[in-house]
Amino acid sequence: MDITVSGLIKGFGTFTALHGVDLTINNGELLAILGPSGSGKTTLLRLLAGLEQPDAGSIRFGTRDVAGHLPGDRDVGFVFQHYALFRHMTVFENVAFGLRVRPAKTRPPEAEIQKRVHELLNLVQVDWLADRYPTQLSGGQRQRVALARALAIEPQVLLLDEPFGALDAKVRRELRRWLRDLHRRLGMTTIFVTHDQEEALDLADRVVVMGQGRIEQIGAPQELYDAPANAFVYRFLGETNELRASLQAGRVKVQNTPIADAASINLAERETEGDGTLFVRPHLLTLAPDPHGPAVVKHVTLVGAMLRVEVETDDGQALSIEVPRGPTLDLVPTPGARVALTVRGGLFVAA
Amino acid sequence: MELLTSLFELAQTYWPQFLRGLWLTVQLTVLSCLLGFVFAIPLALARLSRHWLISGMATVYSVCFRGSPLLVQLFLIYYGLPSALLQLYGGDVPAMRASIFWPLLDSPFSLALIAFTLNTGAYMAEPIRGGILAVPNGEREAALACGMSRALLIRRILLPRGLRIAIPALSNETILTMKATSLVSLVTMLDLMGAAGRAFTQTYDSSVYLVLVPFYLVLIWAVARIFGGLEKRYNRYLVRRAV
Repeated sequence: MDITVSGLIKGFGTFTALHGVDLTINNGELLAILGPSGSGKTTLLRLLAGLEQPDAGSIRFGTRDVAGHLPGDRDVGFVFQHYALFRHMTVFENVAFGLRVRPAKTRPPEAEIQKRVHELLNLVQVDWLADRYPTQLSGGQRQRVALARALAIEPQVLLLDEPFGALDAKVRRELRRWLRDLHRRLGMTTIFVTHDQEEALDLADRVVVMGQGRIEQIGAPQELYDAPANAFVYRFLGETNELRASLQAGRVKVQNTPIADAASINLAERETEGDGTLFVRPHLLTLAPDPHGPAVVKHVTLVGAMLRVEVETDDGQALSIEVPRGPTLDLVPTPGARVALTVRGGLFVAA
Repeated sequence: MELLTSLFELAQTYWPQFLRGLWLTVQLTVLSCLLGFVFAIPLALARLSRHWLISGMATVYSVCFRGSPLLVQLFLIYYGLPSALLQLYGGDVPAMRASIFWPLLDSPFSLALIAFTLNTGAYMAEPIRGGILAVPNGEREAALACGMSRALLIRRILLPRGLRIAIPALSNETILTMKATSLVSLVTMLDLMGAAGRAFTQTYDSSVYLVLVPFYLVLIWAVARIFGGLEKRYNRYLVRRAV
């Protein structure tokens, strides 16, 4: 089901959480809403679910305007950040709940409910926990049960609020992979909220980046990472170095630091000539030993498969560079050595 | 030793009276707590209502019954209700006796039961209200997201969870009500306390009141066991176990 959001505004007292959000979600896509705390991403998700009502704007599910409709009238499944399982019900009862509370006319017979619930518990791989209570489950198991409960009502749209936020890194990675496979199998329009860039870029077909109640950029993960629209998106999607630079005759110049390929530098929208900042990812800076180089190595740290080299330029800028581990290891300068830098890509934003 | 012998003799002499008193105490406790509980649920929901008039009326009721002594309420109902009914019938006693309310007002037990039910209802409504408020907001929203109406949310989530949370406090209220039933001895009823009072008027031996202690202790133990069983049964979902 396609979802179209137009001019969505939502405030809480004097605070405006969403400032006129416009968004189109395609049928069957897996969309991530990414942003820092307070960016309005959960508010947007709750508005889509019907748990909050907008102050202005419209939400269309297909051709139907659902603004003002209760959650039950929207055909959505919602998975809460902290699962919100009914603690007085077993796993089985939790999943069956959405089916059992339907009006008598649309309620399936008990035998069918039993069959459907067991199918779902099998699908999320927790069928062996059917008789347990939520307090007797691990975080990952609770997450799966919450997902099964959301899927039980056969929704057209699945909404997940920070689905892996409360889990440890290993379980998070496993569940991420599992959710991606599940989405492929079900093909349901799925929207999830996260503040974890890696999670959004790894899972989603498209990512919506939000900041202070506005959409900053929408695009495929690769597109967002390679061509961020502005400084906010660039900063938010990963670690960044900020170099003093200038735009002259359409070319970006950085003092004492050559740029390998001018075409690799993106310009933020409508940038004018003059001074500004060049945002560069740590892996897009290369270094080479040079006794006359404009920077000095301060620290070299091992970070998994990468070496992180911290340098300081002669004009006092602290930069971070990532170098892959491997046969080049002996070429990495030691602290105190002078080095030359080369930029292999980035985003220029005028001051 | 002498005291024990004296107590044993008193118990032997007056045990039929004490047993009848015990039965009345149990009846009054059980009925007033059951009826009070049934009344407390709508009262708690009314206190939580978004409608200012409904919540306001429920709050006034709760404050009045929890803010005044039970003895005052008992006297007001025991002496006040029949005279209010008599006034309603313009002093016509035969007409009053023919009314449908007379069977209720003719019996001291009924009047005491009304007083205790109204009081217990007001007290039990508070832990029920607290239990409902203690249900995490996420569970309410999860129920709504599953397509529930507000009425169904109350019936299927808020009340089952809220009442489970309230069990220990309701146990306390039941014990307090049971001990408070001793006040009915002041309105001509021979409960445990009334039986002891009658024995005292015949013997002038104040140790007769000590005979009551084991009776009340056994009753309290029984109530605690019953509620302990309820808690074990209905709150088993809180017990963690290794996965």
